[in-house]
Amino acid sequence: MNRRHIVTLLASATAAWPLMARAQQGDGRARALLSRILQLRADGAAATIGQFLNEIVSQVGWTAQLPWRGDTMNQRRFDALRLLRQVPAVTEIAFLDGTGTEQLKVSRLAMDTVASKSDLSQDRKFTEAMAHRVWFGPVYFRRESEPYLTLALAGTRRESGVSVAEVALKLVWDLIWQLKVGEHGVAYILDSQDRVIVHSAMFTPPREGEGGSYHVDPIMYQRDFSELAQVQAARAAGDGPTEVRTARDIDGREVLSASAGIEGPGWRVFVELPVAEADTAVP
Amino acid sequence: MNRRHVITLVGGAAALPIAAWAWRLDRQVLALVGQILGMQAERASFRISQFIYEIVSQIGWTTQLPWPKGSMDQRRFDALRLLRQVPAITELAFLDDAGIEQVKVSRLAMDVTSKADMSNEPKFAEAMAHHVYFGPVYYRSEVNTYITVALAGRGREYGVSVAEVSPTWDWFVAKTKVGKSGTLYMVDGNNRLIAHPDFGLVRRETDMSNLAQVQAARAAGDSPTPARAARDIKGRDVLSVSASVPPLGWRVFVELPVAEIDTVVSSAQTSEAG
Repeated sequence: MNRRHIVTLLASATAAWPLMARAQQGDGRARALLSRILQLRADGAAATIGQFLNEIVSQVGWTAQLPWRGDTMNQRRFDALRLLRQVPAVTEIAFLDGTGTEQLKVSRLAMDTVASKSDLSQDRKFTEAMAHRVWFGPVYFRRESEPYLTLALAGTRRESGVSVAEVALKLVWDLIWQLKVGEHGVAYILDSQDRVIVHSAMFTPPREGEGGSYHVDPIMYQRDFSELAQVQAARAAGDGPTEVRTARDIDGREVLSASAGIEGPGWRVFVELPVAEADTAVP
Repeated sequence: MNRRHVITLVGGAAALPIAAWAWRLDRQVLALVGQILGMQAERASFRISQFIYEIVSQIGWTTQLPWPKGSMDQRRFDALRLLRQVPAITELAFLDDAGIEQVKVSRLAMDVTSKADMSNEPKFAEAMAHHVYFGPVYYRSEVNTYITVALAGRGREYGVSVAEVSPTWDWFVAKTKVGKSGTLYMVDGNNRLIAHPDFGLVRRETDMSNLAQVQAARAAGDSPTPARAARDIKGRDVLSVSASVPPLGWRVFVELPVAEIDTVVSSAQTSEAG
């Protein structure tokens, strides 16, 4: 194939997706390339979400550097305000001392500080962070549709205590909203128990004439996907790479399925496209 | 894309219907390969952008005290905490509201407070004017890449924090596989090579302005450029795509030798499960 051919071919290949949707049955090349693209999408989304969470851990890390002493309270308060200013996704930060007692809490929503002195020493955000340095709590919703995550981070020494941040996951939701491929493709994230955290079916586009990006209906949330063959195969692969495979989705449709693990919280991103759509014949 | 296909494509009139079918198919394969290269370029540019945005956000912790009120001890302490929190930052200097360097903390050297007047240097003047300033890529010793990132506070009285940053992209630029012998590389706003698997080319500050794909990408502004045929720096025929790296005005290129299009197709085929 010479240069001129390539130029001609490329000039006529405009938007790739419609072409991709016409992957010819019987020629494995297009299907293989399409699978590679699904895999790259899953890898990219997993890396982006991992990077987002890593950065938050790194920023919260500032607040877990100091030991707890009476004279560090002002420094702590200044750190909390700086964290909220620097990281828009963090809406609240609480500091537990080395015994698990809450010493300070600063919230974006109620800009005042509270020292509840609650004993959280048996709470998982304290025990898990102390044991493993970082703990990612379950996803929860505020005002029915705003997703959040609790992130707890221990300092290097026990007396530094634990910083507990409430993190808005809007960015992750936006990413899944944009990630679905083709006309009936889906994208979703499962937690380490194979339950749905977010699924592209949760999103409804805004009605015409209405502002905003989308409506979220958390109805899919927490649905158990552990029976799906592609989920079991991914789980078995652990941190290793998985192959794109043909499988049944939760509605029984035959799909091409690609997935990638997210470092940290043990989540996994799936990107799926109905085979029927991948194999629509060339007209 | 194998020889037989190419022959079919240019084949006689009798074979026209078959040729038309193969033509469409090859066009599709080529479009898919181009899209894969484009995704690699965008992935790399996104990663580099995120790295820089995170550095800026971390430096932001140190620009929240006004001069002269903020105590020197607090600043020195913040600088030490920043170096501890962000391994890529090797040095942090505080310039006061008049552009005088008041505190400098470094991983590599003893702390010095030079009291030097930086008020006419771009790192002060540009940061004051545009909030943030990114210096050109420079090199210390033979192998270490650096850039200067300067950040101003909310108002002039907060001064400017200047960080020397040792970026982490060299390893993944060298590691990213593009076909068998394709490359991922990056140029700065002046089309100077700043990342390439062959570090010698980078260190010689190779000017890439003469490449047609670099000129086309420059004309595209912040948009990605779709796959196009081009010649690379070694004179090989390649498929070339690029993506911009905001906010730096840099660009990432991914280039696959035309002779290796088949390699990408067959490696995609072998990695696909049934």
